[in-house]
Amino acid sequence: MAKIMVVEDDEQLNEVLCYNLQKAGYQVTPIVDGEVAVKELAQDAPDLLLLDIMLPSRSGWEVCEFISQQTHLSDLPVVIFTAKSSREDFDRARAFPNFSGYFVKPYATGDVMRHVAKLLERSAET
Amino acid sequence: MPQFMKSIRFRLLSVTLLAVMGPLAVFSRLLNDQLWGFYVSRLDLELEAMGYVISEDSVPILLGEEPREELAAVVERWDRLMGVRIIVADADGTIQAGTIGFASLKVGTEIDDTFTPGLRAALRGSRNSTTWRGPDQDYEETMYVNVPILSEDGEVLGAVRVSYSLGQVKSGITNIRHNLWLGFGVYVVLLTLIIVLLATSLARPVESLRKDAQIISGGVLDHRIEPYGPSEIKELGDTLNQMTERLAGLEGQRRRYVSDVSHELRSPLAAIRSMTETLIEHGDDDPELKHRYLPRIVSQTDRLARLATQLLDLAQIEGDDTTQQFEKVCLRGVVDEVLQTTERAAGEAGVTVTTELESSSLAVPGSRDQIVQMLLNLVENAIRYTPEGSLVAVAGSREKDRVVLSVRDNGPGIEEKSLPFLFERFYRVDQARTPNRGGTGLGLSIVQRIVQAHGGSITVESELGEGTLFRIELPGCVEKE
Repeated sequence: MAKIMVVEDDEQLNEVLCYNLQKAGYQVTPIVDGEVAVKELAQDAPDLLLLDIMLPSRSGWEVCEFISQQTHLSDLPVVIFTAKSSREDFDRARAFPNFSGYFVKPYATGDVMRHVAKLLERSAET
Repeated sequence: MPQFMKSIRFRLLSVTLLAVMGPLAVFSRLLNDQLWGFYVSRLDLELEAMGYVISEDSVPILLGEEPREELAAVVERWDRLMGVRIIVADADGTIQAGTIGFASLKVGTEIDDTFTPGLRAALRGSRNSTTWRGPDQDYEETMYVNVPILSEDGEVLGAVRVSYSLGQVKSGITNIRHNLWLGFGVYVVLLTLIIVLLATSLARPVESLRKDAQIISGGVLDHRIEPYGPSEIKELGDTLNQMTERLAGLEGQRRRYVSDVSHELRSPLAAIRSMTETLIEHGDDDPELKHRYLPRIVSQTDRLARLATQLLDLAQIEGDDTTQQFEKVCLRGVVDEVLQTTERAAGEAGVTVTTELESSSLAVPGSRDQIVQMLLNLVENAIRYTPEGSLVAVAGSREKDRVVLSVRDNGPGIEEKSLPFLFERFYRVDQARTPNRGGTGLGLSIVQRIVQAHGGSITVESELGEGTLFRIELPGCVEKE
């Protein structure tokens, strides 16, 4: 069973996303804080990371920075969630080596689920 | 007025030239009159002096002591020496000698009043002088001085007329005036050059400033002016730079604000959408989901609506100059209204709100709606962020000419590192957002803007585990004893 880490500080959004992922049969770790996310990632690599940018204590960008410095996380696909629709944010996200998707809130849950399925299928093949 | 006439160059030049040319014209006219008067009176004296000398020379001839022919010699000598015309007449009025211009005047003829004006008067013993233009315009104006020839015992023996053309005086003065005008001309040309240079040195930095300002008004807010030229223009450039910096700052703030607002709108929308989609997808298999998500969707919708209202409130407070519509706001009424409005929320949260006003006459000059909103936001915040069983105390007192309003709670308190950001838009202390509490992150910003608009100040003190105190100082109304 694929392991997905969901880092989203909006508790309701986090919960509903986790609910959908669990229903689809994934093992989910919900996290609402950037610092906690970094600590978790340092110990164990999930199969996929869904990451919000605006986070307390450490922003999503800082989490990305951390991931790119860790060898054991070099293959971790990261899907970025953001409430900002600016071009700069998208370019910044795309420049990140582990970048595997970008969703601007409010996103369609169905799109996210399909994208997750595709990413995990691909990583299962490799 | 044509555009070029409004330029610095044209104005400086025209004003200066007018200022110089006007007095020069008057001066030239005055000089002309003065010179004319001076030369004519000098000429009068000189001609008179000559007349008397000739008259003295003529006395022995007219008395018959010397031959008559001598008279012609005397007249010729003076004519040659001084270039004057002379007529000598005897006591009977017969011309005895002369250098005569008019054909009708010959030696041996009778003098007449037309061609020898004033000469007959001189024969009666009175010295006189006159100017005459002659019988027609062909003759130049001429000065005639008539002097009687008197014997030692005072008998009139005859008269001498000495005349000189004033045309020569005129041409002399005209010469002086021409030289003067030539000097003026050179002066004016030099002055024009200097003014054009001066105007250019003034206009060029202004023109350069204008170009800079045009670039800035085109939206290039990071454009910086390097002003030069006179100090006033430099200062203007520096001021423009400061203005542009401020504008750039405001523009940056505006962009951040719009971006923040967009972010704040998208988050509840995302939650509503995700929950609704999940309900559509799994609602039938999982009946529990409906009970969990539907109330959340309602509260998120409320939050969006509140956000919209507060954004509008904030824009209004920041946009209006409401000081014009200030009235006397009685705090008793404000506190009662806030208490009524929050009664239900306080009851549901299990929070007790108490009030203590030092005097029921406490009042501030302000906008009543804004003062109510200010206190309401603080009390609502206190109710929202304190646990069940907490106390919220609203107090009002007077300190000299200021009124102090405070809202104190005995809730969990706020971390010290958060305090400086408390009044920033969209800043929330509970960063792991808990939307069920319904905060929009705008409440305290609105409070601060209202306090500022009323000329007051707001401070916050907080200790973890002890509680939080918001203290507002406002200028008070003068209380009647």
